[in-house]
Amino acid sequence: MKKVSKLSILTFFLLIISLYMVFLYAPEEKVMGEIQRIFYFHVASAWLSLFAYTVTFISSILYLIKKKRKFDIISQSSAEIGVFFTTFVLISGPLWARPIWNTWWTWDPRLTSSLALWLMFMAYLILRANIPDSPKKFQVASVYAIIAYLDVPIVFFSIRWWRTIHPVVITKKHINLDPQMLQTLIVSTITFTLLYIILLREDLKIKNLNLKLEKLSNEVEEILEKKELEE
Amino acid sequence: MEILRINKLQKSFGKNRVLKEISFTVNEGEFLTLIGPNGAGKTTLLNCLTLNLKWDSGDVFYKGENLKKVKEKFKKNINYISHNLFLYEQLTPIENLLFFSQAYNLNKGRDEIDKLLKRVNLLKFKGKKVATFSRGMKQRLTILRALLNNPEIIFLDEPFTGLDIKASEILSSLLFQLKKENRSVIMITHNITQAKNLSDRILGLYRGKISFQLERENFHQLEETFLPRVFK
Amino acid sequence: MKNFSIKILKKDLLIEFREKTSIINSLFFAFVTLIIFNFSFHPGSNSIKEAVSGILWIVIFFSGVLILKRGFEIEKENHTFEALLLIPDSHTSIYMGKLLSSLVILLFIELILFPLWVILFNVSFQRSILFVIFTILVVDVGFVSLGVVLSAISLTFNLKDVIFTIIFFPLLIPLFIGAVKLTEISIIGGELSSSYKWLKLITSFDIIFFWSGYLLFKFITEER
Repeated sequence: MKKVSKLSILTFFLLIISLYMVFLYAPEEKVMGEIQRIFYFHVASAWLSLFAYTVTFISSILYLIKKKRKFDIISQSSAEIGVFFTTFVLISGPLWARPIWNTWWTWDPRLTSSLALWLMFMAYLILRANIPDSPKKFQVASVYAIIAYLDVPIVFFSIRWWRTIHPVVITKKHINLDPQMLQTLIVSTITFTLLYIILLREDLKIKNLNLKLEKLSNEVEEILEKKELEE
Repeated sequence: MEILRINKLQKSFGKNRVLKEISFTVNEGEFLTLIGPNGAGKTTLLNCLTLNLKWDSGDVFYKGENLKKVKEKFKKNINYISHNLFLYEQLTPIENLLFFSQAYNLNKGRDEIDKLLKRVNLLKFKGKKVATFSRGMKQRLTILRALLNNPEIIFLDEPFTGLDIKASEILSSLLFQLKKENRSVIMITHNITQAKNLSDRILGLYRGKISFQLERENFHQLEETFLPRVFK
Repeated sequence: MKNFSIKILKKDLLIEFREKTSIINSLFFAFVTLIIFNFSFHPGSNSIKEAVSGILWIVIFFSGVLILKRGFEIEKENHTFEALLLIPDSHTSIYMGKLLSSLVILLFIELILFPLWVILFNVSFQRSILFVIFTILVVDVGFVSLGVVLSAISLTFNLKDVIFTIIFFPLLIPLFIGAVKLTEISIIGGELSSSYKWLKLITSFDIIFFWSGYLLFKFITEER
């Protein structure tokens, strides 16, 4: 077994601390009750997915400039993690909404924007899944990721205006953050960010091993072929 | 004078290594033929040289300059006749040739196009859609298309497939003309007789590698000694 | 270069209007969907008033997809895409040419579709008709700017039609919202200020995706 990295250990303890803070340290919200505690993970995931897509965007640009495979791998991994966390936002949102607003789904601007983001980057992954690996694929996937990311701010604005023109049924959720709540939010966000880094690192490791394996099997094939020719 | 130098060209599709360190040169005005079994990598090689496919490693030099740096200049001076004909079936020969000549920024008039069509016996069909043409007629038309930009190098991918004897004769006389005009030609074919007739040099490809190079004076050895090497 | 994109436009229009089938197909597709939508409402119901703008744009976007796909199918059928790429410095001309030809054909279809929509759904306008036409124009520009890039992607990799829709429509969400809102404003009326807001949104969509398409197109078309 390989040694566990320091970062993983740190994240592990931070996870425990943030669990403690979320469930025990942070005070109960007066209006919403216990369910409000989902907020700390919900917001942290939302932040993280945006962060992950930004990484995808930057590394896609880098791919187009440098044409190095590693940038494409980072784009893909980061988008995968981003989609995972957006999914969590989309699940935790309704879980939160149900007891509070008495409805699973509201076309609330933030939730709707998350849904749109989820669709866009799922589309990116689906596009990738439908093309066999080649440098051309990585290039085109990078173009798509860039376009999708450029769309993000436009999507946010359009959805916000779209909601505000119609009468909004639910007024803006107003959360008075007291210091303990804020601390909890900060800690859980930091924890999630570290978690992202670990996930990305592990994913990159796996993908690189796969590449190595491919290379080795090519070499083996070549040697076999040479032998065959000699005979 | 050497016009193209291919140096250790490699290309793979996923796991499949199609070209393995291919190196050869092409001289100005030389007619070079590539032969080899299906899957030897001939078309892939041509697609790389016409900048349609990206190769993985190795270099190509065009008149001593790295091709990657002079792509657009290179494109100006080459053309490609693949077994796909690159013609708009819905358009007439004139419309096709006008479109492609404008694409190269040459403003050829209708008279000039008529003259060209006459050269390949297509003048009386000039108002008909290409879709109604036979394979041989399309083949002749696409040769005109490929000559529009007056290319130094012409790439041909199996131009003889699907042609009857008469049409092959017309085609080979057209190809002879290209040779006379001192253009470099790189052709893929399975037609050994035509290859021997036309080429200055024949390259045999086998499993992504060059297995032999034969000059014209040694063509008589082709069938007995060299072909078995690639067609096992 | 500008010249060449106009040549591509002319050539595409010549082929499309000579063949006619694909234009008729898209047009009839639009017509059928328009009719079908009608049946999701009770006759004479008021809720249809709220939905008409959405219906118009769904129909336009779907038939627009057919047009965009067709633009590159011409090249695929004839294997001429490779020939276009053999031409020096052709990437941006191809982008511009295809953008223009899709735009012209889309406008042609809207020219017929729009009056049909007005008649069938009994639409009356509070704003001048020019406002509506302007709306259609700016939305179409954004639609084709992005659409040409994505249909080039799906041509290069031979993607299935369903994949094209999957990768295209999520990106269109803001454009769709803007288009529907502007059309709604012209039917129901509403503050001028909010229509400016939407116009601004759509124009920024147009500008961002025209430029990104223009700059990034060569990464899609250059050698595989």
